Amino acid sequence: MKDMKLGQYIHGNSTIHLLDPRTKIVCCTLAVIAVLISYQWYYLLLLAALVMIGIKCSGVGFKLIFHNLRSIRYFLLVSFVFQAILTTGQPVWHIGIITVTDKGLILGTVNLLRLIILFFGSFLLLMTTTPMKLATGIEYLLLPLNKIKVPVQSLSTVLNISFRFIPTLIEEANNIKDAQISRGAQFNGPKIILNVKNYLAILIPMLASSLIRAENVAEAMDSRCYSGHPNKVRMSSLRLKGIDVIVICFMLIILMIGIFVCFF
Amino acid sequence: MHMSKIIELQDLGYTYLKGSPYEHQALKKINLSLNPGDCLGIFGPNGSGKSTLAKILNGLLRPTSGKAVICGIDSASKHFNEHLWKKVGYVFQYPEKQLFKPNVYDEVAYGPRNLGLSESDIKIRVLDALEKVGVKPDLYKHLSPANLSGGERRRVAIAGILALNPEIIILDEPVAGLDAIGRKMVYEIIKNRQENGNTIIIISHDLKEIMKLIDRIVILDHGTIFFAGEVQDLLAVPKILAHYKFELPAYLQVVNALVAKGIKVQTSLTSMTEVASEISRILRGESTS
Amino acid sequence: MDKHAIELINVTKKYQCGDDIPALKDITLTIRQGEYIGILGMNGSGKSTLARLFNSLVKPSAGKIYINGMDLDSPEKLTEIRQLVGIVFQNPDDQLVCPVVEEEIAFGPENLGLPVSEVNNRLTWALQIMNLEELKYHAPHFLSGGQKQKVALASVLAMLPKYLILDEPTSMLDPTSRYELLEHLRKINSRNGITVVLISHNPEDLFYADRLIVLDHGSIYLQGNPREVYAEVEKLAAIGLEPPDFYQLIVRLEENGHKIDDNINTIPELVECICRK
Repeated sequence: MKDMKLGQYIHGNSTIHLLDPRTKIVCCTLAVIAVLISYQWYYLLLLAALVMIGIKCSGVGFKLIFHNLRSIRYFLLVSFVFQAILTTGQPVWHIGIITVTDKGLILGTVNLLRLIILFFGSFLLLMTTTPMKLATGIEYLLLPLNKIKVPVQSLSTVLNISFRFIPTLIEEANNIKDAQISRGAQFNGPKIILNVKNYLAILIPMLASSLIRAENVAEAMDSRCYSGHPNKVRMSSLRLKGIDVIVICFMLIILMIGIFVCFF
Repeated sequence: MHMSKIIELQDLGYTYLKGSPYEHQALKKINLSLNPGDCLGIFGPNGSGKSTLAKILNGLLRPTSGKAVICGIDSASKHFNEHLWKKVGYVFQYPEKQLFKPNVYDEVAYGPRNLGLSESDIKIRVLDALEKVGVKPDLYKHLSPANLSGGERRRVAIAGILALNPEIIILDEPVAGLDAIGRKMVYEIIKNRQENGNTIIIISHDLKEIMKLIDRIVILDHGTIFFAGEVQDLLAVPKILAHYKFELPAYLQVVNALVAKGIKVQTSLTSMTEVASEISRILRGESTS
Repeated sequence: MDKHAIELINVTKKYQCGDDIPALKDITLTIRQGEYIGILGMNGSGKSTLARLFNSLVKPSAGKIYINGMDLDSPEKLTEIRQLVGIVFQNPDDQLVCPVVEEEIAFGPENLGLPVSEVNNRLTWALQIMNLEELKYHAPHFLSGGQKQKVALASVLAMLPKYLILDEPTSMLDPTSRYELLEHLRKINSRNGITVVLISHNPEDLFYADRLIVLDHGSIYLQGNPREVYAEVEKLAAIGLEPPDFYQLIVRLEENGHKIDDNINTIPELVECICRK
């Protein structure tokens, strides 16, 4: 929880940074589709290589990305283990009633690769796109939903404010946790029920302060004439350039290859 | 006669997230010792490591280098994290943020309950703590903290820590956000505890107000101790005062300015009344006594 | 009706829930464009309510408010009023809603529907006037309290207000940040002619004010220039306020029989005065 800099935007001027956010969101989506429809290891390796090239181009640094990967290591481990023991195939290893199969190991590795590609791709998106540009890009792409009365602009504002306040809320929660530990609250003790009860000592103050904060934020926004209407200025600042078109076309080709490999 | 130190820090250091790209050394080679009953002020700019130091002093964090012995507990022992909170009460900044019980009694009882005391002992502790902070137990114990004023909530939060009967009390910016009346009340609580023999550590930015309470002062900067000594020693070094934008009370500033202009003024004055009398003497043309 | 002033005429504000004690009772005051006003009062004196009346976050229960001749009651004037009267609040964190400083400062002008070029001009000006150019791409979460408050002020200045209301802007800041913010306010008032209405419970914050208004339990208790107001030591003590050390010293000296000129308001001026005698 502490210092969760997962996917925090890192300022830069690389080609990836300068791409239109819509391009990056669309490419990310195409990459997700490509990963989900295919489990051919050579295709996945191609995707992995592309993501690595993307990371290198962005100048974000592999050290940071791998550090972020550390935060989800248990999730990856659990995913691999479940795949390894629940897939039917030739048994390779027995631990009590649990059997690890050969197909399980292969599928586990493939899934691990898929998850890593997905995470790296998302990290790349989040680290090279400012939260505001990201929200603007999402807002633009979701605009057609306005026709079916979905309040895209309001949702987009909600997204922005969330991006802004999540680190603050996490820090506040940590501070309150420290304060309660200093009064003897245990969060890692032997009795699970007690630990859960102690989390109320964090949740209730957080709820109270969030309500007050919401009122203050609303006042501040009203005072600067926030009206909830579409922000044309912000969206007109988005402009698709030649490189954006090239990158999108490139990703579409990669996806086509994936579909081809999958079905033929 | 050998008086054992209540706090002894030797080459203490703390590094956050060691080994990761986000590694940050918050404290470097801190050496500090306090006798029981001392009152220490810790000053320093944002990011100088004050909060980190405070968190080590109450066992929330274990030093990553060097040694600390606090209330007899060594930082190397496993009791450091588990038991130090019982002896060192830490009043966080804006402590009213941690209030969560439906009434004042339960809120102040939270700490003692975690100590595992009997209900009758808890009752004594709670009522006693509320008295110590000037909140009348009979009037307030059933009230919800949400319905109290800011100053009252601050005092209830402080009572929550005092109910632990700690030997050392650390207060992080105890008067932040309070008006003059609120500040006066908190200073009285601190003075009271001091007279009671508690060791007090105050983290603050406001030298002007705190200097009346503390005997010793430490200035942290970038994780190291830049200055350590008595308050009087610090007042004698105007360069340091200016560098950290410590403001002296206006009357002392006037005295210093007059001295700079070459006028003979007594410089050992400490109160406004004394300064006013001294300036009056100068204006009447009398020589200084 | 003054076209260059904020006028409150017999304004009363009662909150509906709770007892029938009004937060503000029959307030009449005028703030002229270009002034630097200090509003002093303890917690509960009604100062926060007063702050929110100026830009219509809160509506009066009785009485009238005019901003540059415009009646605050008219809903169609709301945007214009909120552009004229900017407000900076106490908690630096709760005022910043955008994930990047640049976008925060642009938030106001964009809400006004201004063209991109104008938004950028105002952004550049606000960053420069508050010395925030280095922080343009930073995330607000990682700024110090003082920096956040400067960003909040810059975001309000980008709306080009004529009146700047500040409700306890320094109470959560460390002394260095407090000093910097007050210096910025002094410059904004003297060089750019923006009216500053600084509300605080700490008299030391109101050091640069030309005129002081002291509130107590919802009414105006004292009014005047700093020397006049701080000379009333007993009256201030009755409501729990103490004049700053500097003014207390002057009062003591005058009690001892030494006349100090009325226009002396700073330490160097006092020192000069003493030296001359």
